[in-house]
This record gives sequence, C-alpha cells and structure tokens, in this order.
Amino acid sequence: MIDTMKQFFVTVSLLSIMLLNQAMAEEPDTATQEDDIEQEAMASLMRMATFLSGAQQLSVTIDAGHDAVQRWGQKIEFGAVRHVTIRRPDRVRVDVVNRDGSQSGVRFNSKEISVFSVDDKVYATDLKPGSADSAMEHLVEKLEIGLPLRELFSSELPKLLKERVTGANVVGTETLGGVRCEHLALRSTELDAQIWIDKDGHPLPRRIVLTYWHVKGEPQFWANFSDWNLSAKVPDSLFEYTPPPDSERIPFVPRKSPSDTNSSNGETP
Amino acid sequence: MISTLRFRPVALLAGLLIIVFMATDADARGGGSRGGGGKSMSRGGTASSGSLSRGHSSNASRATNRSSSSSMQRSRGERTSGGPRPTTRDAQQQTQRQQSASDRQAQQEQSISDNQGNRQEHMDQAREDRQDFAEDEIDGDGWDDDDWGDGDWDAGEVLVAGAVVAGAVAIGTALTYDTVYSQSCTVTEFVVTGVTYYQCGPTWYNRAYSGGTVSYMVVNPPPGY
Repeated sequence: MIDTMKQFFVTVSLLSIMLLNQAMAEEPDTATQEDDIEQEAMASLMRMATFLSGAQQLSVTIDAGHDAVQRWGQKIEFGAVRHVTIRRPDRVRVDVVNRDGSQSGVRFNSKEISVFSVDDKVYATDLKPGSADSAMEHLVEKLEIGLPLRELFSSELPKLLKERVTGANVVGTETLGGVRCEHLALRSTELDAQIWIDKDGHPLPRRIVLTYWHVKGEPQFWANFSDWNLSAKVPDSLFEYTPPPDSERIPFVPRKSPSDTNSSNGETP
Repeated sequence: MISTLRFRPVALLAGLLIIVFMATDADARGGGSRGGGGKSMSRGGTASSGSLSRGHSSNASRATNRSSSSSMQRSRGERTSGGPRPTTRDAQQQTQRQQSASDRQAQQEQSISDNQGNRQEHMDQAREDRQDFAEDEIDGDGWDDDDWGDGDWDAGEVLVAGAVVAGAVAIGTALTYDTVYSQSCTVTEFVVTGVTYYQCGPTWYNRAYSGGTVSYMVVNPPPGY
C-alpha cells in the first residue's frame, strides 16, 4: 500500500514538472516573433504605406507628444504641433510650434536645407541636393535635427515596414475624432507600435503610438494626425527660406563623440 | 551691447560645477527649454525622436526584458470580435520549441534572476535620484537637466565633465541657454565680424545647431579679446 502511494506521488510530481515545462514552453519568445504576423493586419498596414508613399504631395498637421524620462525616473511629457508639407520628389517644409510657444522650422528646396528658430532669431543652412527622402535622412542622421516620424513620409515606406515589422495584429475597429479606424498592434525588434488607420476614406494614419520598450521607463511617443490634404497647392516658394533681417546665421556643429572629446580637449574644433 | 561683467572667483567654481551636472542637456533633441523660475529638465531622450527605428543599437532582448505575448487583454465589456487571433505555428517550429524548452527554462531562470537584480538596482537608483532631486530642491538648485535613459553619449559626457572639474570647459562643449545663463556671472554679448559671442567669466561661447537644438558652444575668445 505504501509503495503504491509512493509510486502515485512520484508520478504526480513528474506530471507536474512536465506540465510546468510545457506551460513555460508556450511562452512566446523572440525567435518566433517573425511568424507572429496576422495577414489582415499586414495588408491594412501595406495599404496605408503604399498610399502614403505614392502620394505626389501631401500636407498634414501632427500633434505629437513624448515622454522624457528624467534622472529620477519620472516621465514628463513634452510635445509640439508640426505642420508637414511634402512635394515629391524633392521638396519638404515643416513648421513647428512647441507647447512652450517657441517656433521653428525646416525648408528644403531640392538643393539646400534650411533650419531656423524664430525665437532664437537664428538659422543654419546646408547644401544637400537630392530627393526629399535623402534630405530628411540627412537632416536627422547628420544634422541631428529632430523630425519625428520621418520614415512615415519616405517613398520607401512599404519596403521599410516589410523589413522591420516582426509582429502585427488587428486590435479592432475604433472611432477616433469621428473617423472609423482600424487599430493595429505592431512589433519590431526595437519598439512596439500601435497605429489607427482610416477605414472608410483614404487609408491614412490618424494616430500612432510608439513604445521604446528597451529603454528604461519604456517611454512613448504618440501623434495624432489631422487636416490631411493630398491636393493642396504647393508652389516652389513654399519651400524657400528667407531669413528675417535681424536673424543670425549659425553653423551646424555635430555633437562630440567620446573619442572626439578625448582627443580634442582644449583644442579648437 | 556690452553689459557689466561681475566676476567672482568663488562663484566661478560653483558655476563650473553646475556646468558639470548640466552639460549633458546638450544631448536633448527637440529644442532647449527655457522654463519659468529658472528650472528646466530634460526634454529629450529616445522617445523624442519619434523614430520607427531606434537610433542606436540595443542588445536588449525582448525575451529577457518583458513578456512578448501577442495576446492582448481588453477591459471588461469591450467587444472582442475582430481582435487578435492566436498565432499559428507549424509542427516543425513546435518541435524546435520543445527541444529548446529546457534551455529556455534555464535562460528564463537566469533572466528572472537578472531582472530581479536589475529591477532592484533600478529601484535603488530611482530612490537615490529622487532623494538627490529632493535635496536639490531644498537647496534651491532646481531641476536636474540630465537626460536619464538616452545612453548615446554617456561616456563622452563623463569625459567632458571631467575636463570641467579640472578647471577648464572643453572647447566644443555644447551647453543650453539655461545652463549658460544660470551661472553666477553676467553673460556679456559681443558682436565680432557679424558673429555674436557670449562671455561668462573666462569662458566664451557662440551659438550653433548641435544635437538638434540651438546650443551655446564653448569657443576660443574672438581675436583681440
């Protein structure tokens, strides 16, 4: 009788361990993210991407905010309203009004990028002939000027999303500001994203939320899109910058890398 | 254009120390803050980029940082139709998963242990930071401008800070308007051959776009000064 009970308890223990192992094995992991793409979600995303990248001109108002994680761990939200105008292949205009009232902007006229601050009464220019895509990339990567969601305005958006999205699901249909939208949940190896795409009209984004989960505090960036216009008159003059008479031209100076700092202390850059 | 320069040697050291702690704000993208009351805080960090691809590489593993489950929880009463569907995986993947289950379990145990350690460290650090912050507030030093979490230039920042402690602000150091104007000196403006220079004690600045914002760069004095 005792042997039977012992055998019973050993069997139960082994089964419990096996079940626990099985349960842990069910937990999705990074290796299987690639197959976590729901085709319906990806199709909606690609419809939006193809439509946006194919537009010859567009303008939109973006009310955006982001978490700035402070040293003491608190997340503080800052934000700005940007009015973005793009005329493909080679014109970009961005007007920014920060929440503190300060104003700045960017102009690209197919040859030269101009960045200016109304409040500081300064501007800087850099020669960069080429496309709107290359100008926006140069602006962010080389000149270090913030241009949130610039990838969204890339003519290669479909390719970019195909390469980067490792997970996509349809969350459901939701109404934002009176517009019926498809709410998608997206994942990449670097961040999570949610996007709401107009379901009845043109497949344009109405809201996006990015979560940088690998950064302490998991800060978020969010943006609401309004006033989409794909047929506005956008003459060349809209993309030219004429500095006010009391404005000072200043240079772009890249931030020092650690090695630069180490080697150039006390020397003229 | 030229205003009175009040220079106090003791205050200079205090001013330089303030620079040490505030220099990192040059990192912040999205424009400098000119908050009321002389207080300012980091406005930048990763999320300010709004980038669909994180700017710098990260070795962080989703599996070791958080659950990556694709099943989403809805609040009670919400309609669930049209929601995410369970992920389907083929038999080969299932087999691979089972084979690696024990390995993963060991990794998960290590990960849990690491995460617990990290979380504790994080909490301790946050508590310390909050305490420092509270003490700063009591001392009237104001908000700390450091940008916690954007690890792009941390090593460089330390080097720059070290140079400042040694008694000289490194040429090329980028500071914000708040940092420059919070020092214990009267900032004096000079226009030399069309370029505006700013002098605070022995340190000279002029403006440039650096790190995405209008910064005050430490420069050599203009010719003749």
